[in-house]
Amino acid sequence: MIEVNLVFLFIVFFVMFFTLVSLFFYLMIQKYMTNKKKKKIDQLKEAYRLDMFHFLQSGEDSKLRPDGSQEKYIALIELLIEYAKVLESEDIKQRISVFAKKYLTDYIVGQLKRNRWSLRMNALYAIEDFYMIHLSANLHDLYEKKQLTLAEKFQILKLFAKFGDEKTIHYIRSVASSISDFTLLSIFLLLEEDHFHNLVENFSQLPERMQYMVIETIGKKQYLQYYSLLQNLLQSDEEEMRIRTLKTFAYTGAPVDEEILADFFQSSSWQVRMMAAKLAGVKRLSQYAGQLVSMLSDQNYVVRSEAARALLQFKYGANILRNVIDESHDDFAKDMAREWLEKESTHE
Amino acid sequence: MSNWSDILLVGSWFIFVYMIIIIIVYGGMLVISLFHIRKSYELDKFEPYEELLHSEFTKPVSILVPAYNESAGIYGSIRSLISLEYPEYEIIIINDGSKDDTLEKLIDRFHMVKITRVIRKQLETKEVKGIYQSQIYPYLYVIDKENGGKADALNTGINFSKYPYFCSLDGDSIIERNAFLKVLKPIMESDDEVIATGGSVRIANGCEIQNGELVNVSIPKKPLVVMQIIEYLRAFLTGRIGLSENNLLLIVSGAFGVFSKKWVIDAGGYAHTVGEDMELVVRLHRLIKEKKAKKKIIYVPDPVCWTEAPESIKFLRRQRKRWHRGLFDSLWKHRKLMFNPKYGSIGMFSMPYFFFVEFLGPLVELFGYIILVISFFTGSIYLEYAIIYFLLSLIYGSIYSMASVLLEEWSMERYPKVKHFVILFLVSMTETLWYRPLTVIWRVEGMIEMLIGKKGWGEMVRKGVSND
Repeated sequence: MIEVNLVFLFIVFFVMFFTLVSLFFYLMIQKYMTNKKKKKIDQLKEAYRLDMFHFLQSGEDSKLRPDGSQEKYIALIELLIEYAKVLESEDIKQRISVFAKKYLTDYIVGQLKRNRWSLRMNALYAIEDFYMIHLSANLHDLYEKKQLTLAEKFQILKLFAKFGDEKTIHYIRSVASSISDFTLLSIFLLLEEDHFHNLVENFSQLPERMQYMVIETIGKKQYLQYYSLLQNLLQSDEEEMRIRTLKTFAYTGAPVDEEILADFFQSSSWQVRMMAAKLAGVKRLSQYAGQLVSMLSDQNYVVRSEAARALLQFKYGANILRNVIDESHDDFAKDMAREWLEKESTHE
Repeated sequence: MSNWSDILLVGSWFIFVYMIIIIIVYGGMLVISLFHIRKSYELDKFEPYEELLHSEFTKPVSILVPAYNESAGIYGSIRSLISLEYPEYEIIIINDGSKDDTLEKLIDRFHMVKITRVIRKQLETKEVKGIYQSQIYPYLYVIDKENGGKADALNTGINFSKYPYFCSLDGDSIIERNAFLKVLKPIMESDDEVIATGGSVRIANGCEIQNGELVNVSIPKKPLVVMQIIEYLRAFLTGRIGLSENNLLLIVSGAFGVFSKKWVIDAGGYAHTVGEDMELVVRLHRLIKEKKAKKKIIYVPDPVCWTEAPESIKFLRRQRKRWHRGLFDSLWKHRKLMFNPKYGSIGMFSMPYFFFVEFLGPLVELFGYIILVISFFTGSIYLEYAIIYFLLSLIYGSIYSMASVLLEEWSMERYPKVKHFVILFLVSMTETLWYRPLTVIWRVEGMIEMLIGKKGWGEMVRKGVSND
């Protein structure tokens, strides 16, 4: 029996060994070829760099026409991406987009159909960089495909948001459960104002997480027209909603109802107390200096820290903190005051 | 006499079955990795992270660098951290009572001044002697404290840190500039469902490093170091992806890992043990299961951190003995999890895997080698056993290492020249013939020292990977 095993094992070993050695030779040759190709692409990039720059300035593209070689395509795309990232002017963006539409459409569409995920993603990134809005129809088809990965889906959603596509909101609502807050927010930030407005109009029907991200977006984009919505949300029953709304008030120039704010200093939630302190500082509401001083003795470190930071925003804030150091009986409050005074003096 | 041969026979079969099981387990993990990593081959290196880099909502990170007598390499390491591509971070070096001029060097080079700062004591630590802040880079701090070991230093750093995530870093490793973008991306995209991520660690020996930045990837001349490169490839590319995909990962490398501060504090911070990095991860898993939380610990295959490997047998041996003891410490501390269905797949798969395969493996292999030697002396009846064993260990060692080198080339291509690939492949063929037996012996030595209760850390003398 052992002889049979031995023979079997020998066969297994040699099959494995020769498979690996053959793969090794294959990969070695491939590496050699790829390295050569990469070198050629780099040379082409250098050769066309100046022409590309001229084209972006003047619109003259005669030297840049692809001649069917894959190396030239890649070199041109890489050059375009490099320029698209550093040159901000609208004219140039327009030229890049026109160029991409004229010469790169087929190539990009082909890449979108590739089997490997990374190549499809690269194509989606290129569509974004070159603002290839004329590919919307292809993207809609792609989006409907079942085997699409979530990463691709979200990337396409970002493109739709950027291109002001009508169906964006509808799509987002249908994937809301699988999308992360971070991605959701980055898509909302890309939405055009009237599309975003549609979203806010139906605020109460949105899932909770989307509501939070809408509030964040209002703050980030400084959409002050939604002031009354924020005002209402400040009195929401939900703590999380109040915290997020306070944060948005801190971001925007919107004036906050001071009576409502006063209640928050005594909130049982430390996040609420912290945000209230932050807001008082940002808006320089020096009438709350007294509350902030007592918050320097808050049981929560983060609240104490935020209160000290807020006090420093006031005109005589530094004096108030110095008084705390001299007069307070609470060591925690003294420590915090000392730390922030020092931070102030080192201009952190 | 027949007694002896019976023992030999039963022993051999036990070893064969054991090795065949391991070969199948490794093979399975290799196949999982194959599909997983190839998926992102040639993905643009910058585009996926561009948004994170420019977003205000990217989570800031505190980078903790514990330093004990790291005078030689510390400047280069810190330099590599100064210019990271990440929107917001702070660097906290914890000088753990170094006896050399680590602190003086830092103060001098980075223009450090003493500051007063309240440290929020969420974890118990040894006393802090002073806190310094750089005048050139205001986000760079040094905490000078009494010596208390690496775990204690990290806990001090956690107490001081102000951001929700922290990264623990070895004093002498080089971080790629976009490392944090890569490692934090899954955390952010999962809305904090991922509470810890580890990146791939590669070996920096032989690479060209300037001002703390990796300029040119290459491989060193010494076969001992080349072999370690292959070993790292194998461990990171094949082993961990398979485990990570199923949330079974028990190791996040101490050289580079990002953790949620809240979870680590809830778990009690780092514990003073030999393998504090692994122990923490096991404890986090335990906490996740006990809280019945839907949290994950994952691993990012992209190489993000380059570290210095020992170049001599002497230090390599120490390192391996230490690692093996660290592995045992973690498993022993959490033995309650072993085969405990309450802890789900961690209890039923990960713990047994690390105990029977990673920990006991060397012992079984050593017996295999002993039988191999005996067989040669006792004559032809046992020669077949010897050959079977030899073939199995070739598959287990060389074949899988060769496959890992091919996998690297097929999916990552981090070694630019054809020559590099050829050398790596040729050296990987020889693994079973010399390197594998050496590591087996060292790890068994580690076990023996553990049994006789030898303490001590086995310090590594560093020459520094970076030119100052």
